[in-house]
Amino acid sequence: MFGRRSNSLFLLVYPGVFFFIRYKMKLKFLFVLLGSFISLYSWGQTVGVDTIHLKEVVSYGKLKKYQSGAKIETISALQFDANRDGSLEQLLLRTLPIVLKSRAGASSNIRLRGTSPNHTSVNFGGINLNSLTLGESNMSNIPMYLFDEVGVQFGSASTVNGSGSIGGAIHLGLKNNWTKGVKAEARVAHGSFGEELYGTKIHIGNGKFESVTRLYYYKKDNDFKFTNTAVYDFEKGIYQKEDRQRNANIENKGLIQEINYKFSEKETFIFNLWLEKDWHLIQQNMQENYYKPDLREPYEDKNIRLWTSYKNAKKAIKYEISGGYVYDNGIHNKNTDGTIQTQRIIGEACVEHELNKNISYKIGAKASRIYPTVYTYSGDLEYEDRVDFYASYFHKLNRKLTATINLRQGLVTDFTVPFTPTFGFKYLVFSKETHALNINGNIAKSYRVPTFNDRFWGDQGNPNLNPEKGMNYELGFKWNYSTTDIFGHIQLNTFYLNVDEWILWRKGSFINNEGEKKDDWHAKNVQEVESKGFEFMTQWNYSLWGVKTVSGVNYSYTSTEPKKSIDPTIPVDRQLEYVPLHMANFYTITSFKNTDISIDCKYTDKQYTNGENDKILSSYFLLNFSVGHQFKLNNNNKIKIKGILNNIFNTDYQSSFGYAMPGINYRLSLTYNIN
Amino acid sequence: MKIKFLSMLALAATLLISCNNDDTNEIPVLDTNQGIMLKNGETKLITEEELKITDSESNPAEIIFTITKAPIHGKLVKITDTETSITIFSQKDIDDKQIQYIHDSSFETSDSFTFTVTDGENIISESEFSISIYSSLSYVINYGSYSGDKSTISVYEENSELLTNRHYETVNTVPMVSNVQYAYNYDGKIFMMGNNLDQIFWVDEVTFKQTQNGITDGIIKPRFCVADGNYLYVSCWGGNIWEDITLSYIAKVNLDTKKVEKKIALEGGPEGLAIVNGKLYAALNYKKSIAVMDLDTEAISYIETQAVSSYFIKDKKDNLYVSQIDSYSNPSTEEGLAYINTTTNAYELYKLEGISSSYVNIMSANDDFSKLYVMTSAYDASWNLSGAIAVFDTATKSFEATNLVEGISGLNGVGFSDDKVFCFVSPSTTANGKLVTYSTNGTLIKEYETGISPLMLLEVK
Repeated sequence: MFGRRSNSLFLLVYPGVFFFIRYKMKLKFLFVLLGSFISLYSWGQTVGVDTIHLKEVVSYGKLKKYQSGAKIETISALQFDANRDGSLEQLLLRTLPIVLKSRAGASSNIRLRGTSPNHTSVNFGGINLNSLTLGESNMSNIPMYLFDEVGVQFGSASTVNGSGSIGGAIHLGLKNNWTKGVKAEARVAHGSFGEELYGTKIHIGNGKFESVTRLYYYKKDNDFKFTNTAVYDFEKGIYQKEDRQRNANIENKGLIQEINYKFSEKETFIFNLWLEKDWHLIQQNMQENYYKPDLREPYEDKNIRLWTSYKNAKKAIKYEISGGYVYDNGIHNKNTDGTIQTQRIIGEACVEHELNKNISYKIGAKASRIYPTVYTYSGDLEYEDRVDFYASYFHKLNRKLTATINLRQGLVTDFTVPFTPTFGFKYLVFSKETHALNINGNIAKSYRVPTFNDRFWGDQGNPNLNPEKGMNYELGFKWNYSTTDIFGHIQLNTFYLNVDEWILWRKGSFINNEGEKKDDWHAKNVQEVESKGFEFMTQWNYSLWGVKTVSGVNYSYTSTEPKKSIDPTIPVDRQLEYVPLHMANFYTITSFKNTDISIDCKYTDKQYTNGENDKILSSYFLLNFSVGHQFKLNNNNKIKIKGILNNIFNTDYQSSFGYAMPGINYRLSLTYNIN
Repeated sequence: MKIKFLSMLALAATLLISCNNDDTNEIPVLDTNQGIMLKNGETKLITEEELKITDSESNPAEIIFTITKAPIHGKLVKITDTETSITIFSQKDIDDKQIQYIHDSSFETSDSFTFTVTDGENIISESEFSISIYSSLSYVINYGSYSGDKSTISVYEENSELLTNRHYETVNTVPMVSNVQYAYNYDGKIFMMGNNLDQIFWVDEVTFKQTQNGITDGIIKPRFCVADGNYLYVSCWGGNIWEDITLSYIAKVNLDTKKVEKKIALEGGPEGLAIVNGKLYAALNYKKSIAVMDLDTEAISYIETQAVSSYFIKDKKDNLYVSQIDSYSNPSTEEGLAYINTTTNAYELYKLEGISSSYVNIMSANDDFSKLYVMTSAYDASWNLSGAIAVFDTATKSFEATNLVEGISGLNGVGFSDDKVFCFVSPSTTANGKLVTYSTNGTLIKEYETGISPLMLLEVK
């Protein structure tokens, strides 16, 4: 069946790749998109529809199995769908009690449980997306349109994800549908401030072979109005009341191509290729925006991420062999001479053995060779090797108690990595007909290898830095309730996280690698930070007169304070910068027949932004609303129209001190689904 | 009868005239009420140039001032009895220079008294005599952090020897939005060279109030300035001068229109400026020469130097001392202090190893210009960057054998005021710095906490 249509398939897949490689203009993209879609539509008419079986590639179940007591949350499908036009930043902000420091949608970084952005790994297959030079990911450059699911692990996860998962981990998921026939989607969204999104997804398969192409183009002029509170008019005696954001444009495009093959239900092969090119003008602060209206500071990211995996679970001893390649390149201000590029080749193998239903273990190794090409690094640094050995043990001791142990030892060229064990448990306190209560706990060590910049950036990097070390304690309970009409849960997690040897870049005197005294910015192990608090989460699904509703409330209390510091300018025992003490969000999504309405809001407490107490971000409250309706043209063709209003109260707020954020704005989207 | 009638008429007329004369006794006129200005803690005579009543029919002794509201921050006294406050005095007392105001040294900038005046018959309604008190203030410019906190200003009050931080914010109720590289006192205003945000802005020299928006058009990386007549000449780097030395220029700012009237190209990264005899001298920081521009023709000539330059100090004969430094982009062993005879433009170097290449106030002269205090820096045996103040004797044209002070880690500028040497210390670009005062023999007097990265002292009298 595939053989007869191989040309068509090639044409369907090829245009996206062709487009991406050549990086042509939007019109060309639209043309390709339209062409692909029309050809697909006609093909779909002749082929017909087969059943689609869902199966996850990123298996949260497996993640949870070997991490009893760890808090891993999956964004619900309804919430995910409501935020598919935006980035990971917007999804996380709206659905979870997580803080992100944002700059008008062009760049943002996460601060999970009070940790720094490079303490949270972002995982695509076996690839940690975090930049090896900067150590973090720009959450605004991760488009939700390309993915099917997102899971967030709160708390240390280094034993599973390796270096950098001190505060937690994010998993970007693609679902294997094992499509029979064809299934496709085209999406167009337009919004305020010149926002446009064009995307398509094309699934083609015969139940064993599957090709999935996902591509998108996103742009935003980002020329929103705001009240400029940083520019004072001395002649009028007022702050500039009206200003407009300039030169903060965004233009991102990306493609994920999956080619998967299912030999049998227990033997699969997957191949994922993700190409991404993201460009934005770095948002200037309010003063610069006003006084330098022509200042344009472009930044471009080019990424190639390839992950392929073969799984065989036909026997008691299951095994999985994976490999990957990652290319990251950042170009600041069109300066192509100042190369900041890394390449990674990754290989991983693991074996899992289920001794019986109650006991299983897994052992594996992951190796990577990294080639950094950064203009300030020494030419002697050709590559770095990293190997991680890990072992996991699962034991269901009885009907109520489950325990897991994870061990990981990393090896890095010329660098010592700590051994990281984790112990977790889950205990079922009671289970009744309609409700059950679980208690879970977790003790985990974690670490972060300093970034390449931390170690090798010119004179200022320090190869002798110590790794950051984390110790995480977690205890929580989850009460589930379920009847025919209503089901939901209440969950409370408390945590204590200690991060020592926290690396910061500070200005001052230091001795460089040549033994010379310098006075400049440099990396060093500066402080010990203690983060403790709790997260309350509840979600309820209920039906009334045919109206289905999902409502939830999340609240987090995060007290994060430096406890020791070798830098006297760091305020010890004070809340860390950009970590709000309180945060809460509420959401409700109501569906009736083919119409859904959602409201969500979020409160973010005040935040310190520097070592002094003179620049404090005020607390703010944001309210969003959306409504959507799906029209069924026939059994195979559906159109969904969705409208969303963000920041309904037009709240004037800042997420990064001195940088404007947009007020009320809208987005309208049209999604056409075939099959 | 007729004679009798005429006599009566004459008498009546006389009486009438006499009576009319009485009725037209002129009301005294407050001719001059200028107020006085005096330095904090000083005593000042009130003269007829400041307070004068004119009354052609009364002599000055008959014109009496009665104080209805006494001054609050000082007292009015007669010079013959300075202990006793007076409530009455005459114009004659003023004319004879007998009345004076004694300020109580409080940190106030204004005072006043109100009075009425009578010539014995007429009374002038209540008037106010204003008293402005100025201090010998010195402003400390705290640069802040280029990529972080902006500048702040600390104010040092000579009499009380107190330092008050965040003076600009206190007066203007808003923080600064630039990092101030240099401040300059001219024509009652203090002009500041703001970087990141690039602008020139100014405040009143006494009140420190900013009432106008700064100049941003035509100003890119301003470094230093000097004024001549109605123009302010500003050295600007124009961009990343270390990548392209042709970017730099002199901005000619019209002080009436508050606009950059002209950008005069001057390559080589002009830093310090001085004007002598209609010529603008520019210390080039990326070129081994000093530019000399004729202010009328704008023709530029150059004085060749053995190292790049950073700042000037003009002596009492209008000749120039200029720092010659060893910089990263233009290394030189011929560093020190050079002397430029502005008549002949002759150049003479007085070597000083380790003269600071920092972009801060690295030189300052004492009041009689007998000494120059010059900042140096070097690494000590423990590899700590250690600063010192070298002393240059302008009479012997030589550096004294021993430094005034040394071993100051983070030394970031030097100034001279109130017969003291002011040293600025900046431990880091994110933490508050220090002002440390020394006597002229190097004895530490006092330490004060300043804002971030203090770099210069601007004395305003």
